[in-house]
Amino acid sequence: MSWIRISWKNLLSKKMNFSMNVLLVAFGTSILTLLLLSSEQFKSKLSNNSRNIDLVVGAKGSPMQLILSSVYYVDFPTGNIPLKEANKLAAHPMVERAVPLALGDNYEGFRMAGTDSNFVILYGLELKEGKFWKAPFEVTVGSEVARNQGLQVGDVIHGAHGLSSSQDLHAERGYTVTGILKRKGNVTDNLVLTSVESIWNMHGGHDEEQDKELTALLIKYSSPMAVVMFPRMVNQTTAMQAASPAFESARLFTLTGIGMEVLRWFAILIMLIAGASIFISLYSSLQERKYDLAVMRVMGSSQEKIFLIVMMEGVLLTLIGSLVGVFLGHLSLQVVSHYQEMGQTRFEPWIFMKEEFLVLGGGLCLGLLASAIPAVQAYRSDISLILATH
Amino acid sequence: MIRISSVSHHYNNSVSFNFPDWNIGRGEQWVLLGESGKGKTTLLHILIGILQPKEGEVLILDQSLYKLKKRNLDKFRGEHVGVVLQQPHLLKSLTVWENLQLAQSFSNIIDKRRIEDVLESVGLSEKRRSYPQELSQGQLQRVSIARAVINKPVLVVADEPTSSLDDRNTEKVLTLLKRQTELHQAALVVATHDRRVKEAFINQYRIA
Repeated sequence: MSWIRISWKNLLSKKMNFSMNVLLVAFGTSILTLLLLSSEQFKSKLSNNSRNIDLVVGAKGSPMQLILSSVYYVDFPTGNIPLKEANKLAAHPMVERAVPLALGDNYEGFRMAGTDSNFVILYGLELKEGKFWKAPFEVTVGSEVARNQGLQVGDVIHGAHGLSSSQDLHAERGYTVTGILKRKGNVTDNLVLTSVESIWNMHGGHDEEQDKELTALLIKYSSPMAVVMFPRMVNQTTAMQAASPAFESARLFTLTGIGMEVLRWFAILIMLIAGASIFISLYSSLQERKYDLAVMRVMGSSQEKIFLIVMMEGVLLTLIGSLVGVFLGHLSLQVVSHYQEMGQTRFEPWIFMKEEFLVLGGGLCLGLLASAIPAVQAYRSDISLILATH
Repeated sequence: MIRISSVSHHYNNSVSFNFPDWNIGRGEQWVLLGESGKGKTTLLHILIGILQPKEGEVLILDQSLYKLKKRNLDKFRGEHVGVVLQQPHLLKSLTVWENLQLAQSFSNIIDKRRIEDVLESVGLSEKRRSYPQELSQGQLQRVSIARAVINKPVLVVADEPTSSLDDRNTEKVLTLLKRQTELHQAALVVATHDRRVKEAFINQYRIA
């Protein structure tokens, strides 16, 4: 009979104690796992969605709001900018590519973006079926939009005014789905793409060139020198504002990071409480079991084996607790992603990260630490004295 | 086969014990007598290798116990010495079968047939899957004897094995102990101050 089995049988003989300790460890580990998965995916989604966009130009207001609305599609735009002014910037020698964005409508909670073929190049979009939009009132939908709404090429859909509500429907004119995009794992999966002209036509009053407006311009620089000069030029010489996705994303991550840090310490505190609980239960059970251990020594067990049996109890407890916790962490993210707003890129709950081994390793170390003192005490116990005084 | 020579022991700030020399032959059955506080348990612990005497030597199968390294002494004890304690203490988290298997495992023995045979010989085959808390005091003592002889030791030591038993069970346990040790020509030493036990042995070792 192996010493692991002896430890296991002993743990199982006190089911309530065993369950409580496993639950405590699992609770701490699940929070750590959830934080790890969500923060890493959040960070990766932030950088993935803003890749190839050096600068966003939009109406004056909060730069973070501009980035959130025009790059991540999660906030309201700061306003509109004149097409004429936007075209001037697009033609600037420091600009390699400028992608126009006209926002303001949604389809069943999914945002509609009026743009041109530069958007396709910017995100490297590919078609799963059909073709890209071309004429006004043609749309190409993201993979998640098609999946969620069961859309096929040729379907006609109706947009609604606003960014999430379906109440103010543009019932007078529909859009024809000409294509469905392949999944990219970024914001484009949740967008309905059409031409800028479609948005203008839908809202009317943009017949004159000087009346035409855009929501934002996504810019890629042609030269590294532009990093310093171009935003300053926009902010100082025009009525528009320039915001850097990299800078604002980092700021956003720092802001959300404070909350995550608090949660992380909370999880670590729970793990420490779990460690103390395991220590107390092993220590008190050692007092009850010292005669058991002495009898095992009489039967020929070495001191080392006794040490390992006690250590293994702590390790098994924390290993099981950590594994359950990692699973619960993923399950929690599944619940979170289920309730995420439809138009946003969802968390992927069943992606496993190698950092999760660190969480498991941390749990194991906790088990080793918590059982070390009881194990050493069991190792050193004087069996003759225990048997004589029992 | 087993020899105790010039053994003495003392605990800190306490009386010292000097034990007469003692030779125990293969298959011999002895009773160890002495009043409380005279060192019966101390001598038993010295004999089974869990208490190193301050002086003297204990030889089992020509091996001086306390010259062995700790780890080897544990292994030697597991292989050659069986112990029956006053309270028939079994591990509560293990079944009867597993308690016997555990005793084998400390000597790196895996012999299911042997467990079956021993359980049969103590009349507890049907209790193999029972946990200790499901057994009577008499049954527990029988399992405890089975555990002591499972590895076919050369010496079986019993410390007050009948102190909590009535006359009928005392006789049963003594008969079982004697029979089981006779089966393998193991020496038997029973420490007691129970008169019922004393009368059942011819060889007596007395501590004054």
